[in-house]
Amino acid sequence: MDHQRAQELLSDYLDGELSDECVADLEQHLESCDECQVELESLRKTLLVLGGLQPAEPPPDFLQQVNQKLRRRTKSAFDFSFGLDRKIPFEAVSMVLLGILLALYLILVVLPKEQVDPDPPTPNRPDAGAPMRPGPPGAGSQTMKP
Amino acid sequence: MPSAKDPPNVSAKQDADPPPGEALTEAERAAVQERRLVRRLRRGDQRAFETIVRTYQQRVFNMVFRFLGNREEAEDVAQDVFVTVHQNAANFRGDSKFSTWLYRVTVNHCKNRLKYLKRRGRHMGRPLDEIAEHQMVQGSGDAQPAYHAAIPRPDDLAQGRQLEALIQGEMAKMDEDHRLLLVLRDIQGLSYQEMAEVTGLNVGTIKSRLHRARLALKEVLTRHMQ
Repeated sequence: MDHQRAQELLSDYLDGELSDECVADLEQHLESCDECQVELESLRKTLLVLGGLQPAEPPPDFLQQVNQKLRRRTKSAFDFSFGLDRKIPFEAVSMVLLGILLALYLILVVLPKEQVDPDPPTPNRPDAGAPMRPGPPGAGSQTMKP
Repeated sequence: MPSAKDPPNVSAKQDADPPPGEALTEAERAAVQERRLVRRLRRGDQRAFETIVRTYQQRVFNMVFRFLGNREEAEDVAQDVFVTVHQNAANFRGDSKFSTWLYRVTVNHCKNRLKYLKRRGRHMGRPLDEIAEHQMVQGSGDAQPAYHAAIPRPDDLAQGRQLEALIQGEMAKMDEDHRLLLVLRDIQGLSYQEMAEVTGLNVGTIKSRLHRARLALKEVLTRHMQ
């Protein structure tokens, strides 16, 4: 086994990931290569140090914190249970809300415009329903003669 | 990378209990208990959820902490991981180990938080070794200091802590994929197969990246030891 290849395999060797044949080749190289021996030892120490790091501990009230967060998320805007046993899907709720908004728009904005006509046509007047036309010039200032 | 929100597809093999009366090894018994627990979790059993939190909180927290290097962020992210587990338990396919799925959820949360912190310019601006030193000095007000190693250091506690801060600082400088592999393999002790399932990388890629990450760390430690 050449030196370069041996260097590449040191990590796998320490992990026990090499085949028996490969292990034998590598160990044969290690016997004759001081540099690889030093490298292997340094790598072994590195892994020992890493593996020896004491696990960081979560706070003692970690479970309570998780439960609190869970409750906050469950009671967020997307909780549409309305006190029922099961949740109502968000899509259904949004469709109903859209329908309500549309109905409100029709009732409050569109319908009042149609009903409020300042000069509604009356069936008794002869020009009822006819469009208003401007009279001849000065017609508005003429006085009726007896 | 596979999402935590996979469609429900519980494999019968994973979900089935062994025939009664059959002798089980310790590992098999633990696996059966875990499957039962996960079944209860998927049915919305709150006690099962709490048992799962208690069982895995230390592993999840340690992993997040080593990856992010900040205790406050680690607490928040670790909580988010379990909230996701609770909300997506029904989506757990059951064709991998529960712990593998949990690690996958954890990795996704860690990466998302890292992206968020980078966008906000709040990460990497302050090297983790500084944080470590700060926490060592301040004690963080916790019963347990954030950094302390179990490595043999009977004669010099301070040196051990310095070494630990050095490691954490060096890991912070690494590419996040390399750091993740170091955490999964050399700190959490996952097998290469589990790492492949968690990260979505193939084993060959994992091995070569991990080797590079170890070499980088080895250089720093060797300089430090000299």
